[in-house]
Amino acid sequence: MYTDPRLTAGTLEQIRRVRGTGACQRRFQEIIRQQKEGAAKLLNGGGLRFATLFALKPQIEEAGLEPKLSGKMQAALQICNKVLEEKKSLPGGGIPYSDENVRNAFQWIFQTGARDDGLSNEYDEILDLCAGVLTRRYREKNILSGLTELIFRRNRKKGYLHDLIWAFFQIHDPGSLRYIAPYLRSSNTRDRELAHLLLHLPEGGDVRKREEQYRNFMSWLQENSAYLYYTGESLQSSNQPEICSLDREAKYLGKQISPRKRTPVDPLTQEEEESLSCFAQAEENEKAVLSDYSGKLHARNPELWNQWIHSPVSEQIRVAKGGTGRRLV
Amino acid sequence: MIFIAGDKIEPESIPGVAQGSVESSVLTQLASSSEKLDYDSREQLLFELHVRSQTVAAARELDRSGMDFAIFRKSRCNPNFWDRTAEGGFRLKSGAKPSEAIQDIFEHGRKYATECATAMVIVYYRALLAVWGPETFDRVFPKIELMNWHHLDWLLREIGLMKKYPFYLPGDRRYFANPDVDPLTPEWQGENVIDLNGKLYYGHGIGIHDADFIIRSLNGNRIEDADESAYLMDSAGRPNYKNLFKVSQNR
Repeated sequence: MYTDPRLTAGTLEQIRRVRGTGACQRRFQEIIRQQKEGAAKLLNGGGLRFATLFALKPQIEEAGLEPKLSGKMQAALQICNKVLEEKKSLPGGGIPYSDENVRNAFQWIFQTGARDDGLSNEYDEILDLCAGVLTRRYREKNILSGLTELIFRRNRKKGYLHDLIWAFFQIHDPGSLRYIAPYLRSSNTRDRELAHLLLHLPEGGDVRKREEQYRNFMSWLQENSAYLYYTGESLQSSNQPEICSLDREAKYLGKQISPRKRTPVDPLTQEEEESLSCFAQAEENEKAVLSDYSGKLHARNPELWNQWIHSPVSEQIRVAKGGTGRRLV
Repeated sequence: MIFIAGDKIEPESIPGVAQGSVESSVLTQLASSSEKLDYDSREQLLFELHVRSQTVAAARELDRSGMDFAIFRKSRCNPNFWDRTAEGGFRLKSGAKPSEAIQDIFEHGRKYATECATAMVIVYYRALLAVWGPETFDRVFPKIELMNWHHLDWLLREIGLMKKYPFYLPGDRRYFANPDVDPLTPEWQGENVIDLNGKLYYGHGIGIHDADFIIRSLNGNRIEDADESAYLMDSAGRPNYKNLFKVSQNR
């Protein structure tokens, strides 16, 4: 009878990491043979990482242990089976997303599984799709840091990363770009190339210029994040996608927009509609100057901004040209 | 409006363009545009018409080839000609002839499976093979990596670059986006297509259909709380025909 109280899920983890998947599976088989009940308890006991559950999945299923597993573990196995189905059934089919165990399972798979990325094609596919579900369906911002690390780690290994990148941007939060920005100053060329691609920026140059580019980007992001929207472009549609772009009208009005829909978060007032009509009369190069000036003035002196935006557009342009020191060409 | 070496020309003055052909359709659209379209020579214009026509032909041919659809993780290729990369792309095998390797995809489609973006790249290579012939093709593209829009040869870089144009033409690469796709089926996040005649599009894995059909298919794979329909993006990827023409002249 299996009675060894020293055995924990962490033991299986230890065996897998030190001695490999085969040794872990053999040990688990032994435990199943000695006492099925104990094998299930071991898996439920905490400390288990997704990679180990994935490695033991065939044995768990063969031994019929699923009903004895915790809700989270059962959900994790269900997610694996769904992802690995040859032809997936229609959207949502089979997975009860509103179940808390399911949500926890998605989180657990990604958070404990990311460090073992590269275990197999199937394993990586599960990680990628879980990332997409967590960002798009559950809006889980707490995975963004780990997701960014995984993207860049896989990029260095020259692995397939477009689904992970797609998942990252599904959060539809321009503020998340700050996780990518530090890679602009990485000493690794592949890191920098990918960061430039994702942030739609030109190459940074030498170390000093890279630092400068990083700082400029971060201050640009802080200034503009309320006015950024997702364009619909992706690595799947373009080799130089502009995934996030600045809405100049929103910045001109100082009006936050929904990054996904590119619509004002609050409806436009009559006055704002009128201001936009004025803005529309300006030339394209003037619009850039007006929105930049407006954004800065709004942050610095709202009262003065209120006077400025209600002046005729020609006057706005004249003041903006003086205020920003930029010349219109 | 078409201008050749500064002179405006009418479509009738371009000889050798058969009525009802893809070339003729493109020529008519170019001539009726309000944009001023500059060409250096008649040959340059004819070259673009020819490549566009061959692009449409290659798309139809690839549709009939039997090449399967597969996500990059499950892509496959004929190992006699190609090495599969870790990303799921295909790199021309050392010693393989580029022209034969491209031709093999069309002759033994069942040995291949890939996503829609890679299929688009294959279409353009096939069109240029038809236009240039194997000798020039092998000289111009000694190395080929087929993997959506990344790792493209510099001569084809622009097909991966989406831009807005005042109008779109047969032979353009377009994209149907599906913003509310189910995250468990990211392969339905969009469909890369070749514009066949302004009404029909070839998309790998989906076949030759009109825009409504493609949008309906994408919409059938959305998340439950979807509130945005799939749509055809207002942009296109086009090869740089003038650069490709220069290559033709240096054959």
